[in-house]
Amino acid sequence: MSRPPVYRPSMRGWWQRHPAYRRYLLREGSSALLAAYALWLLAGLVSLAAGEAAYERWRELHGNPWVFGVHLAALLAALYHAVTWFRLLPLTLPALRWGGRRITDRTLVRGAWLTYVALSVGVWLYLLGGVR
Amino acid sequence: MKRSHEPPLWLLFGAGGLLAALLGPALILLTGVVVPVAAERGVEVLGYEATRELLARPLVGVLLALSLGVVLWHAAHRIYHTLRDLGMRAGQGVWWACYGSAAIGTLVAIGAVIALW
Repeated sequence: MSRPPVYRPSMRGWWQRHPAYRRYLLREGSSALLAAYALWLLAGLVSLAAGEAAYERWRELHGNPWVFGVHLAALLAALYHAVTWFRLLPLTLPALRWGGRRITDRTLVRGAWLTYVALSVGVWLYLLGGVR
Repeated sequence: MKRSHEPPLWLLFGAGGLLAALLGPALILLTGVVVPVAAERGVEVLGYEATRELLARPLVGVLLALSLGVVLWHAAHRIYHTLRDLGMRAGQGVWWACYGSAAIGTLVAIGAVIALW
């Protein structure tokens, strides 16, 4: 296991020292809500396999104000995650070329958002189309 | 020096992060907001028969299970490293709790999908 650098006592409270550090924690924290949502879908999948009664109970739970509230929070977290993920995308990829010219970071981020819109619309049409 | 197994972990993390960014908001809006709001108006969205028929298609089911898996993996990676950033003495135990639960979640998802066939 590769070990991150040792945490020193002088680092204590580092997130209080700069707004960017707090945004960093917020971004990392968004993954907890994404995980909660993934586990919720997993519960739905398991109840679907268990049968109609279990699945309908899972579906009815969405009307519970607490469940609804957590979904709204997860939606905000997912949007924040998407914004930060696409913004960092150019840093995580090697320089891409198209016809001998380097694709600029701006183009890459725009391309990611276009893909996001296309996939969002596609998934909605597919799921609602398959359902109706 | 011991070889690091961080690169494959990071690839799974990256796949989960990309997927969550591309599809997360649309899916949460659909299953978490549209389903209950429609139900209140007497409209059934993602009903049992249709959803079962949809997810019993091997390609759709397996893709969903693997997607859930990589998103769980993504979260496990971020949570583990953030706990360390916050000064927690996270050793092997926490490592296994994070990544192990993501792996178990993936296996459960695959099992549930296979049970639909």
